Amino acid sequence: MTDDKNVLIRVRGLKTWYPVKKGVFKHTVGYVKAVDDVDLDVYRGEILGVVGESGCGKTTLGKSILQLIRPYAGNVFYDFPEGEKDLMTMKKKDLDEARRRMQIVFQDPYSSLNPSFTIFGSMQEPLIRFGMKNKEERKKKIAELLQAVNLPEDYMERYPNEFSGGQRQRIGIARALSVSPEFIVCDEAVSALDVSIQAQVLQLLMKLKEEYKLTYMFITHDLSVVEYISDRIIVMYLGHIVEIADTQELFANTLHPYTEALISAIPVADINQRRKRIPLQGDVPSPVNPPSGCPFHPRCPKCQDVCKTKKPEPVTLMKNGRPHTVCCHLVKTEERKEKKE
Amino acid sequence: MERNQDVVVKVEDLHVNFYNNDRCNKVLRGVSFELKKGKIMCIVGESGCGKSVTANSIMGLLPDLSRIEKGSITFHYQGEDIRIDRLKRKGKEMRKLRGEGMAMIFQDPMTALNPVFTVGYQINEALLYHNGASSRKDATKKSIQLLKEMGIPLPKQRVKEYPHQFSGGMSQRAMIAMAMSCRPKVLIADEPTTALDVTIQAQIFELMLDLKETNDTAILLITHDMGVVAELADDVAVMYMGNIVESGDARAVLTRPSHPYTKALLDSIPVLGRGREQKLEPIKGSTPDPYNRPAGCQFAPRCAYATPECETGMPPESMVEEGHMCRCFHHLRKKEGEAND
Repeated sequence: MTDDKNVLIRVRGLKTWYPVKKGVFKHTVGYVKAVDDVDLDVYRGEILGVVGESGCGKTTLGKSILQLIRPYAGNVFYDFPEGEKDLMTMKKKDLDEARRRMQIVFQDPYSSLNPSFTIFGSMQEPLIRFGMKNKEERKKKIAELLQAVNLPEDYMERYPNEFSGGQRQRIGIARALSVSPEFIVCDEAVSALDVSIQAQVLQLLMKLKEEYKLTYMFITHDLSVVEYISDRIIVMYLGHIVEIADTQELFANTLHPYTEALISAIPVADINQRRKRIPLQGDVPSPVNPPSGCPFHPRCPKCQDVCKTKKPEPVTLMKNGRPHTVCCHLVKTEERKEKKE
Repeated sequence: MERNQDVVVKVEDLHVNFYNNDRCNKVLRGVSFELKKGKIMCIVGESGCGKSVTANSIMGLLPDLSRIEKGSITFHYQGEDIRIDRLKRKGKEMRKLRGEGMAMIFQDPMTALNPVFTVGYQINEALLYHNGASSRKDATKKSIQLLKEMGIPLPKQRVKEYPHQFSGGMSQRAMIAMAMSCRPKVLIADEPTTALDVTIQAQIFELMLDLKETNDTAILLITHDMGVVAELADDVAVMYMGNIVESGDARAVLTRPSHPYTKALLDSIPVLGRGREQKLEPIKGSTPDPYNRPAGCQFAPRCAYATPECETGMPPESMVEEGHMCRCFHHLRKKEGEAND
């Protein structure tokens, strides 16, 4: 899967900085580095999980890839049928056209549907935009989509307030599917739902992936969900990617201390499986004043002198022929030791 | 009547109704449980099942248009049995109990603190009201000590700061400090970590376990996360639409669930460490409208084992084993079958 043919999106050096403005003339006094220098590949047909604490830049990363937030610098190469193009330098008109290939499902099903539109009204918008001018045709298409997400088709005449959270989220998914995209960003798509409904939506997403041959970027803070659904996982901390690996590899062979602490902090719903916690001290630092060196060093239980001054470079190790990338000084030194031996 | 010395709060057959717009919502329909000294009792359930209402009725914090229709809440305090359900909600006795005898931590720490007073002032308030401190100076000293116990760095400085200067985790610690200021016998925590990140959640749980050990406090923890139950609970009660459907020792309930709802709930959540092989079984349908409840067993419309008998009425309580209660006709039938064999 590592050959370039299957790469759908190549992100290189992506930086999304929000300016901090102050004073009468709104001088820019600094930047919130929500996403800082991120490199990543999204392969065709995979489910890529993105995890991290709140404020670590998960959502900003997802939106920056879709150009819903204009990044400050970097490149996002998308593999179009006619060849790879950089979304960052595209004209607005072309970008609008490109949006039929990539869609997003938002976190909060209560605010992502317009309350004064019927479901038909909300769902027809993308169809009109992408050239389905005949109303009957649109109706037919929407009925199909609603069926695909296990909702009766006569729901399209109703208003969002008549639906429960789980139903709304399914409508949101149906809307994202309406333009037959290849790539969907699910931004905390199941976090706002009750546990019993969460499983329904997760299974629906898996089913749709098979049917429509989709690629997901699944953003969540819930590691148990991500372990269940994704092929590969990205762990983010303070705007940086700290670890990328296949799901099984990440849980079996955790390399970064942050990932380790994150996994150990999750309460596991299995009473026979109580593990030792690695408590982290303090909170996530402010991204306006990120710590020097490794961003994780003030909370890291294994912090060394080098971590305080030097920013670690990503290291890619090959484990069973699959890459496992980690951004930590400790891993490097361990590797060096192995080499010496 | 002989009474177990360890029982601090006893809730028996509690019925609570909410009235609004000429409609009546029977929120609690016969809830019984006991809180024991130095034990953590967890109530789990989906949103709208009456978890928070149970907590609020113990604290006497029910809204004005609601009434305890039936049942009793007995609080054993200073050698007396106090009937909380008979006290005036805003009366003198209730005000004395709140904070001194029992205290509550709310879900969202950012909104539970008053933004216009310093954190120190708000902790002092409880101390001064309940004669925990002789003067404001003395109270501040105690507040600093409390914040220190809760693991807030630089408590001397922090005590003079306002809530907006605190992060979510720290605000929750301040809330716990406030709740623990008069060393209450009972601590009620209503989803204390839902708004917090997992790493901060782990910190708060360590703190609560610590409090349980050192002060012998009875803790009522309300949550929707089965993981939290597995990690923390001594006893657990599973609620569904205003009834406790299964309760008992946490290990017994989680390893040998008897009620179809508990089973379905446990099957519908992804468990960390089980990877993609685990099969999720979503619960079909969604929770019924509280104004239009099913006639019999509340779970019958979603239950895989439902029979016509289930529509006749709520099943009686039956014991699965010592200290493990379940309310289900299906379970009763199974038991009878075993007895006949």
